[in-house]
Amino acid sequence: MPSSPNSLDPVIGMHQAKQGWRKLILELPLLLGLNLVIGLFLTALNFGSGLIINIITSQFIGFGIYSCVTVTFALLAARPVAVQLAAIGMAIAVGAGFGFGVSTFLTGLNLTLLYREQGGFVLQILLISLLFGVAGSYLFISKQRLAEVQALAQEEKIKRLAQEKQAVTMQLKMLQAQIEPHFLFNTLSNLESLLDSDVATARRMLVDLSSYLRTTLTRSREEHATLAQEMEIVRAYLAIQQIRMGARLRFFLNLPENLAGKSCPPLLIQPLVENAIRHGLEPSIPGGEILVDCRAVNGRIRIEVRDTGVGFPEDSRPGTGTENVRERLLALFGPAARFSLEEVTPNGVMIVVEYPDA
Amino acid sequence: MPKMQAIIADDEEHLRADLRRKLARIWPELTIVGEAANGNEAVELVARLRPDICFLDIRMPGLSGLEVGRRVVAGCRVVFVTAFDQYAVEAFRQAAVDYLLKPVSEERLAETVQRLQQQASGAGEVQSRVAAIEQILATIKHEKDPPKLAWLKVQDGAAVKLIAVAEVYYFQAEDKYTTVVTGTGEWLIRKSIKELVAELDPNRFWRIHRGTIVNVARIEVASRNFSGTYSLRLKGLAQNLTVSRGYALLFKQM
Repeated sequence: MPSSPNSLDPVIGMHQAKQGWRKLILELPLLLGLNLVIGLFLTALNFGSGLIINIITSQFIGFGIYSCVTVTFALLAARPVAVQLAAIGMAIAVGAGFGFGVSTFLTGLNLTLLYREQGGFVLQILLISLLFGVAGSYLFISKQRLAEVQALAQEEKIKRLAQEKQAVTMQLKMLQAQIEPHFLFNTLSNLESLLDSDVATARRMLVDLSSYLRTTLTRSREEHATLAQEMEIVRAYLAIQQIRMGARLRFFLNLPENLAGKSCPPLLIQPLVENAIRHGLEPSIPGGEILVDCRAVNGRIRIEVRDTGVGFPEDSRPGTGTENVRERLLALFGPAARFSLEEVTPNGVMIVVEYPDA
Repeated sequence: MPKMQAIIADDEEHLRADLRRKLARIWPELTIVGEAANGNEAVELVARLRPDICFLDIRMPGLSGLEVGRRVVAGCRVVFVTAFDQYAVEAFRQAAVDYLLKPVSEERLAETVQRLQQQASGAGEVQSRVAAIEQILATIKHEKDPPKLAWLKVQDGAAVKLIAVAEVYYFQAEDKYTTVVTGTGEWLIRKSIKELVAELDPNRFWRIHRGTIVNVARIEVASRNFSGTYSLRLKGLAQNLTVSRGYALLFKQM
């Protein structure tokens, strides 16, 4: 039985539970056939007490061995090979003895009497059983191994397809989340207004907007970016928001020089900052501060995004942007990544993202 | 016609200045008597200055433009201004209220001004104006289907933590509360199982018992008991969950 701790869905789990019975049904004809051949073979050699008794005896011994070996194999699937081999050897002997016992009982022979009068014959039967038992077990077990390998390959394939699908979905979500229309149109209105009143500021805003648009539109298709690049998008975005919100927004960005070239999944920090603006500071009448701090901690990159906005309302829905970042981080780094989100006092939200520095 | 007075409410200073300049060009007789940077200020200004016209941005801190509109529309004419809001714009069109899109074009503003000048506020239409805004608010609430719950707010010692619902193994109803079980701990939340069922994505969270909701992605094996019920083993969790007979259908034929 293939043991798969990371089955993708309950379907595979159910499949496993059912397989015990299905395996028996599938293997039964082979087992009965094999037993029959052994019975016929021994009769042809003039061994034993006639065709009928030989066939009954071989069926029971074969079935006994099969049951004992299957159970042993299932119980010891995770043990070392030496332990398995020893246990299977014992299981063959026990199964053979048990099967022979039952068959003598059914064919009306007295086992004790038989052993006393024809000890050699009984020993011969057990030896032959052992021989065929080993051969039969080898046949069944290698067949099962093959099935296991195939099942594993199938599972790998399903897993890979699921991962590919997830990657595509994630990229799509990222593209959709990137440029919020409300932000874009508000920025354009500001530009239009500034052209009347403050051309220098308008020019600065236009440069930041193009920088922001260019990077968000191209970066999302790239696999890798540096922390410096990511922080540049954050800066451009916040500079635009600064013009819009005026004194209601203050921001502080900290990227130590030695971390500038470190890798950072593209558009990892920007959505978190956008979220802080949209759900934290925009709804706040006095506005507040945003702090983005990058540092290296124990060979990991740690990014903290903190705001002093309104925090999460009682019916908390921090937005899909944040959830996308969490999912993406998990898909990229698995359990090596950390994502935490909490409210801070007196008000605001702190998000901490950590991933291995590779 | 007596000289008209107006206020402008927008949280963005440059946009207030822009509208003021454009209005000065198109309608020099109009006096802008005040500006508000948020919804609460706008309501206060209207109460104090009694303007004839309010230009209200929709997305503002504090009260939204629509909420301000509902409170003041009985006393003055309201023009909504918005950058982008597909639901609201559709609602404005249907309710036939005045609205402007940012960036505000002078041609569009001139049309609005003309309409404002023609319809000197008559008492008879107040009812219909209130009704129009009520209708918009109702439409927006109705159309904006709330997104599925993605985060849970829990008390973690003194801090308030947010847990992604994707990390939850299962929810278990307690007396008045619900226990949230994740790989790293257990928390109590105030939401009931019934509320959670309504807010969680039904494709990712299944109710398996009157008091239990399970995260489908966390199920490792569902095994059938002799009584015909199922019990679930979750990945990395020692304890099994029982599927009550009523919900066993979820696992049949799999």
